[in-house]
Amino acid sequence: MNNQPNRKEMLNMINEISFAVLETQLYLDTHPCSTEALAYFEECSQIRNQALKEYAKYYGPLTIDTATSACNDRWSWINDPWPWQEGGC
Amino acid sequence: MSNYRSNDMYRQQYAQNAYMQQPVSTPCYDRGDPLENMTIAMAYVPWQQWRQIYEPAKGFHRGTIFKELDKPFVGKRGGR
Repeated sequence: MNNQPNRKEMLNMINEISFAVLETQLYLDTHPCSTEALAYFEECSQIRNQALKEYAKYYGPLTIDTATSACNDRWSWINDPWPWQEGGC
Repeated sequence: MSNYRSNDMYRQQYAQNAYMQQPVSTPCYDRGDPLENMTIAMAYVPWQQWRQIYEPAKGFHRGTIFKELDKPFVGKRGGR
């Protein structure tokens, strides 16, 4: 249990990388042929997906897309606090 | 004649507000415009280039990953 990553740090990292993905996405909307932006998007997107999976593994899924990464034999989607509950957001 | 006068006042005010290189006192405020060869009444936005990208953490806190768009908007005239 000691090497379980810190929840807040993971969330921060997911927020940061998600923002980078979004910014690159917006750039690509107007520059669809930019190979540099495409490469950066791919890199960030992969890191983000990995981080979301990792988060789901330890703390439950943030979105329904990673619901299967939360390794449980039971449905854990409703276990975590909702955004309006304490510890939710 | 009254029409001409109000027009003149408007022009003076315009010259004060716009990025004109001439001081307000010169009547030739429409000279020395670096954009003078471009069609009037059109807005121009240069293409953004992929360069000077912030690290994700910095971009998140600055509100943009593009250093060139990280402007010091301070709510008053002039930059830092």
